[in-house]
Amino acid sequence: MNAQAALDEDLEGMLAMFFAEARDMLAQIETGLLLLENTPKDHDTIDALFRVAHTIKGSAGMFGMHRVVEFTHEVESVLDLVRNDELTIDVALSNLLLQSADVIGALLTQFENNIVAPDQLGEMDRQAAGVASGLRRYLDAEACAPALPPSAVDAKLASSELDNSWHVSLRFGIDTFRNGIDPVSVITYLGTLGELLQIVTMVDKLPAAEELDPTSCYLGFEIRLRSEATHAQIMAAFDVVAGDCIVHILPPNRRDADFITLMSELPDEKRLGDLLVECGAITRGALEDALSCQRDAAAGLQKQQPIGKILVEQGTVSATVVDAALTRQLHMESRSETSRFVRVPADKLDDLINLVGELVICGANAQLQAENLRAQALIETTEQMSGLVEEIRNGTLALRMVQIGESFSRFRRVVRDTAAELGKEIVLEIEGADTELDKSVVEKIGDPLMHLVRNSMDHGIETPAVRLAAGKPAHGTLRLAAHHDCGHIVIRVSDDGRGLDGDKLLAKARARGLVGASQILTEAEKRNLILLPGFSTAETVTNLSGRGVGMDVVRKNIEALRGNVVLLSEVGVGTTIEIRLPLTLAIIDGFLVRIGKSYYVIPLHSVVECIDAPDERMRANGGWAGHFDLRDMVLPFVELREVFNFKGAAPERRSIVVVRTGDSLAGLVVDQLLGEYQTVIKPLGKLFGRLRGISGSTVMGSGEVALILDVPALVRLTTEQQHTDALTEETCRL
Amino acid sequence: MADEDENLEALFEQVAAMHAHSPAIELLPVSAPLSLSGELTVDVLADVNPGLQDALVEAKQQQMPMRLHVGAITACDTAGLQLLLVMAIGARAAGTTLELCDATAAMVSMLDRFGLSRYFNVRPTGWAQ
Repeated sequence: MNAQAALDEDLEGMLAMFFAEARDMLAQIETGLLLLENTPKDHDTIDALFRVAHTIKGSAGMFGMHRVVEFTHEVESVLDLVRNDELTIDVALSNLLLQSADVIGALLTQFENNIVAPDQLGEMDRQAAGVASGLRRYLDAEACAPALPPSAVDAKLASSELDNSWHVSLRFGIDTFRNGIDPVSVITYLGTLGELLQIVTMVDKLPAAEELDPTSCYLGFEIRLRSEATHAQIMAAFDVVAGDCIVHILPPNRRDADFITLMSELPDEKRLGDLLVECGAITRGALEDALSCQRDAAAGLQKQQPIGKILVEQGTVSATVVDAALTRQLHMESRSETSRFVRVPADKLDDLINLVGELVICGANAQLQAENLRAQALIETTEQMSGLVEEIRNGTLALRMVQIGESFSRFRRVVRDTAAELGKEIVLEIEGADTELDKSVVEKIGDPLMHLVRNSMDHGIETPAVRLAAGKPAHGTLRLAAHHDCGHIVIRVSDDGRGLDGDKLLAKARARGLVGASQILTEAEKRNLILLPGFSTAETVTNLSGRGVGMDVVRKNIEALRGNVVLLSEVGVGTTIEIRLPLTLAIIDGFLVRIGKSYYVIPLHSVVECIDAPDERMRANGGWAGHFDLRDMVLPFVELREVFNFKGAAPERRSIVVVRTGDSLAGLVVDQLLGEYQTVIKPLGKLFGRLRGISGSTVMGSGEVALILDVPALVRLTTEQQHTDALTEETCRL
Repeated sequence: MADEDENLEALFEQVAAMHAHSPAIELLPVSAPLSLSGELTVDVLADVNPGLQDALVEAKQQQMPMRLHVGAITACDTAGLQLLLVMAIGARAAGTTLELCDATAAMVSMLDRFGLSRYFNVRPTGWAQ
């Protein structure tokens, strides 16, 4: 690979990183703006917003995305006014800034996808221009608006882009001359490595003439060097002065921020910035931008950690020392922030998890072989290995775990915009944002959740007038909550709106022929009608929801993730929709059982206990399901032999596995218990998509296939066994 | 070590000779320009410095430019450059300037290269006074 290709690859990687980071930052802007709507004077947040906008601008500039730079500059200027208390964030401005974030996002997408079609560009430009003119109105209103004309921005960019020279910063020690070193010679030698474009001599440390010791060295140099040499080669030029000279070398692809770092590393040189500008290393504008950014950051830090202030007030340290320390600290923090995370492509993780899955199967096989051989040492080793494999499995799965908070917080914007659109006052409360679940699950529940949230806002929560009349507070509350519950994540979307009217639902379902006229449904069943395809209770269809294509799709999506949806509602009080999802889609701890000659896996997290089947009681009951007495508790059970239609006589001794989903317990009658088993879930394929009671399959160590039982579906069977008519049951179970 | 001492002694003798016989380094009253010649390097600075200091004090008092003939300087190292620079900055701080007369091309280019020309009033060789 030649150097150019390597460089291109590097650049591509950096670009990808930039896009990912910019999206994160846009999300931060959004969050920040929404926060500011409640606390418009929160300076920390305003400063953070400004910083984020500035960073986007700077990074976009590095990649030559002038349109992003120009636009973000306007946003930044407006934020600057806000920061200086010359402008207050109100709803109109907040809207505008939110739109601005959208425009920046769209511009970035455009660069990311390399869109060059003129019609798409034109549309984008019009949109951007609209928002930009809105921003400029704010800027023009302020006489002191420091907006740079676009040409100035371009010029600034051009200067930092075209500059492909190294920057070398030298500070010679006081004994340099006495040690026989001549800095001019050193610099002349440096000149042999390339071309010395510019040298600026740092004279600030020179003493007054009368205090001068002519054999002491007080000089420093800022040097711009155009050279093809490597960093190491340039560094080597200073080997002879090692110990007498502080050398900083910034490579050609440096950023403005690097100079700020340099400046903070040489903190007692107040004029260094000027020198750098003079040297042509950085433009005045870029320097000031970077400096103001740094000051804000430092100020922000000082607010959080007033110890610096206290020290200054006590006279312990000088303010400049604290500033430098804070700045340095900030840099370190931001550095550690970036090094705390490693971005890994999702497909690499998926491959890894697949491999771990195969490893689990293979390990199980080895264990089986060892047991068959009755080789004690081998058995011990395989057991040890399976312990390790389990740890690897857990670790690997944990890699994919992400907090749900991120997907929750994007609803803040949705709730805000939708509430405004509907003329309702809605407060969003988020709970359990740090609950973790598999990334692939997070991605898939986004849309269903969005639908539920919109539904709640549209149909659930009433307008302020109606709410006040009903004796409720004018503003409705929408809650998004998440928590873990035995191997599942439970997500609740609840509102304090009008609730679901079961009778209204039933009437509608009857009118549509979804429920027979003579059928009697429980309250829960009535409410669940809303999950049927083609059902909508809203009298008016809005563009948000109400077309009746929603809830059944939500249910289907959730069930495709091996989850389920539960509706709880009380008329006039509110509605809660509970989604229960498995934490991961790849590997689970299972409990292996045998029925006839077939193996089945019960997800271990739903197993409560195993007991011997009281045979005489079960026989008396007959059929495929019934109840029995579990320590004075009525426990419904299903006869899996019957459910899966096994012929032949059942063995003498059988067992019942007591399982739990949600609040219900049930027993599953099986022929034999085989114990814990790590299960790699293999999907069953489309052909078996509508199979009930089975959620997937797995390959065992012996190569045999075991089916994974869908416990919630089986438990539902036990609780609804009275509906013997399969068709009726199908309708009501939903 | 002994060598070094000998060298130093020889140097002292040289410098003493310079002072005694002129015109190696001539320190003349302010009205007449000072003149430096030979190698302006770290080794001789301790001797050159006092004369320059005096000249600077006078120039400040009289508010006249401090004039320095540098045409005869054959070599100048960083320390020499630094000394000139300190004088120039001192003069400017007092509202006057340091004039470098008869500056050779080498001197001018060195000052330019290190971005120091602006501290001096440089009059290259052949510059009409």
